[in-house]
Amino acid sequence: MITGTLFTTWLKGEFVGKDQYGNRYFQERKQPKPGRRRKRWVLYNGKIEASKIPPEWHAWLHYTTAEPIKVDEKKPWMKEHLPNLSGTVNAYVPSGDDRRGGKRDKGTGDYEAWTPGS
Amino acid sequence: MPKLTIDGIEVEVEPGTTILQAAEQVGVEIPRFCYHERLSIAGNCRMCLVEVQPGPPKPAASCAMPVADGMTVKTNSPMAMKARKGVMEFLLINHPLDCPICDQGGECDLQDQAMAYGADTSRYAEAKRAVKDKYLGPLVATQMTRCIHCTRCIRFAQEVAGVPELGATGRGEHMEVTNYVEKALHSELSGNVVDLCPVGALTNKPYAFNARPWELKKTESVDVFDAVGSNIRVDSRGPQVMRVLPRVNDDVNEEWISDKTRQAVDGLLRQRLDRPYVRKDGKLKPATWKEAFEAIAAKLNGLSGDKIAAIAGDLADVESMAALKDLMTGLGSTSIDCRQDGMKVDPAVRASYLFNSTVAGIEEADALLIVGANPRWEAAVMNARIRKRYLMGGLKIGLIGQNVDLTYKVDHLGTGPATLQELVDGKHSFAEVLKGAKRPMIIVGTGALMRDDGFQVLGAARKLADAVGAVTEDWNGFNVLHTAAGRVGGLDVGFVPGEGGRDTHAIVEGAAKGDIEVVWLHHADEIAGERLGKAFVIYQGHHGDRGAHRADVILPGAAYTEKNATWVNTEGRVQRGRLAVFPPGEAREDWTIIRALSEVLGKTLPYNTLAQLRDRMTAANGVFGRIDEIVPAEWATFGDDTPLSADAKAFALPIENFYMTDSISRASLIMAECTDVYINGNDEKKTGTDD
Repeated sequence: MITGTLFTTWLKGEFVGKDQYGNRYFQERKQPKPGRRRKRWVLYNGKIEASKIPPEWHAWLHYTTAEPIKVDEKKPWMKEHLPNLSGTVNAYVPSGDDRRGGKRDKGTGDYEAWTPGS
Repeated sequence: MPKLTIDGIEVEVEPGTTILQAAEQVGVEIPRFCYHERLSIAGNCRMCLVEVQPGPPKPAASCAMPVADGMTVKTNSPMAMKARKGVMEFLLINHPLDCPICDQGGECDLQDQAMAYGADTSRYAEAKRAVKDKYLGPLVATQMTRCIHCTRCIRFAQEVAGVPELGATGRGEHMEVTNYVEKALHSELSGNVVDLCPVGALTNKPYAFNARPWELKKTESVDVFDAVGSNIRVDSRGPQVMRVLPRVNDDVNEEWISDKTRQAVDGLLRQRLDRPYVRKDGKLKPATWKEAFEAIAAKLNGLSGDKIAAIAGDLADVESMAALKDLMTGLGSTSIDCRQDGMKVDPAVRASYLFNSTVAGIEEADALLIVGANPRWEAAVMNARIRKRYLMGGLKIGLIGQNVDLTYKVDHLGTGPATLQELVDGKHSFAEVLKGAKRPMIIVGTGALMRDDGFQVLGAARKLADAVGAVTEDWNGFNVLHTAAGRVGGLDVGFVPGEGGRDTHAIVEGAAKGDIEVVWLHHADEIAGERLGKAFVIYQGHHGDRGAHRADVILPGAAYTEKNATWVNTEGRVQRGRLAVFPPGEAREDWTIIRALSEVLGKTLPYNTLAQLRDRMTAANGVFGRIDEIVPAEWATFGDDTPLSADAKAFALPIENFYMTDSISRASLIMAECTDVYINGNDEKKTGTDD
């Protein structure tokens, strides 16, 4: 339940930005006491899933950068962020899995069994 | 005895000891590359430099300098450290920095010692030298650019293996270790150069790029490919045996193993029996253990004991033979035999089938007679021991049988039993050599004992041993050289025909005639299936070899790396093999199969654990309680005293192909390649345009 977080956001939060998944990022409105830093948090769009946070916002959330990294500064070699797909139909399936034909490469301990015909 | 001080520790050592050996005695380790305790001293790597006083003001090579009274040795003084750092820098000048792709990585002497004596950066900016790789056969891969010219491999080939095929050409920077011609190294011990090589110049070819040493589980075990019982370390990763290395045991194999021991393990992954089979309508069909046991029970139900027989093969362990013997006794059968080649020895007299002088005892012998054996193939590591004794000097060796190259000089006395009879009668000049010797040795091979006149040969050898004084209080010079790892264990546990029982020959004959209805082949693969007539054959083993093809029921057992088992080597040394990986699929440890079947047959064996079974073995024969010990056997009269006939045919050798002697090595692809290279003589390097 995020009722508490929503209340805190209404009471103290200052909207900072929004990412491509619709997650909204907040920080404390007031300047903190000396020796402390402004708290930063996220309100997820839909399911609470930490891997949905793209790297530019991840850096800001963890105080690696003072300001969120601007998305339009993206370099051509940067890949699109991909949240964890485990449990979904798009989850990764290794090539030896039954769902992908069940044929895997030879591995340690594979042996050839004798059959009467051979 | 000279007294000297090493790093402040005073020590008194034998004269003639080198500084490095003396340091080892007080626990000070001096780094080295070329020095090896079982090879001659070369003194060419210069890594073992130490400061010696009194003496010239320069470091001395400790491996080659004998100790002198009043010497003061400093192994870690600034002078020694500076000298070693200099040596290391020179060694690394021409050594490639390819540790990440080198198979020696993680177990490399140069890598380890560079951590202690290497500089952090190189001052060398010039081009490194490159050396063409040499061809040493299918077992040894070479990367000669990595060679640091320690010459260990050259000395091993020359001294231990007895094949002077390796050498060095050129000098200084142009020195190359080479075998001069592009031909395989003609030795059964060639794999040992891989262990000796302190760098990655010589590596294990079949194991290349398969694993790193730190990934491997090390299990100390015993070899079963010959009857020497070499001590081995089985390196496995998960469910696969990756490689086999020797373990040091000065009484058995020193630190060598044969190529078959080392490389045949890839056979453990092929042709495996991983589930029970039962023959239905003339065809073998996969079955469950329950179905297999029920098929056996149905056949044995009401069958009298004299129609049942069991033959144990060369790879059978003692535990399973003990259990099978108890089961056969329960079924009322005494027709059991562990000698599938029909070898004639006297099971009642332990001395008649042991290598009584012991392997280490070879070094004390001063005359040796080999009868009908080729130790180079039947016990390659033991042959290296005979050669070691030969190189010490003063050993006269006579050979009766086929005149084979044993890597040392022998007097070929004759080919058949007639010569042996002449020796017994004292008519041959070599009899005087044996008589004159203090510790004469007579080695009788399986080839001489598996003949029809085997008992006469045994008796003749025993008479000769008595006549030349080979058996005294502290020396027994009568030796039988076995070829099968399970043989002595089987004889010790009493897996031999009991009262009214048949031996192997009679079992096969009986099966062909129909007198024997059930034959249990326990790891026995050397019995031709068609000779067993219409008998119901139960095969227990781990490979689909000759035995499995003829079987009516197949019980999948475990290979030697897959069970905790006891083996007895040819000298009667009881040794334990340990489980390194689990048997594949449905296969089980062998004694448990027999124990489970006994319950189905209603003859439940009185043991549930391995410990209980071993207690039972020890109760039956005390030697099984004395692990890794030699229990001297009582000397008695055995064999047939009838003189050997003068026109008996010559002794044949039991092994036709060293590289394929059992079901595991026959399934091995590497052994097949070795057969092609060494036996069929295709020992020249393939050029790429061949075939």
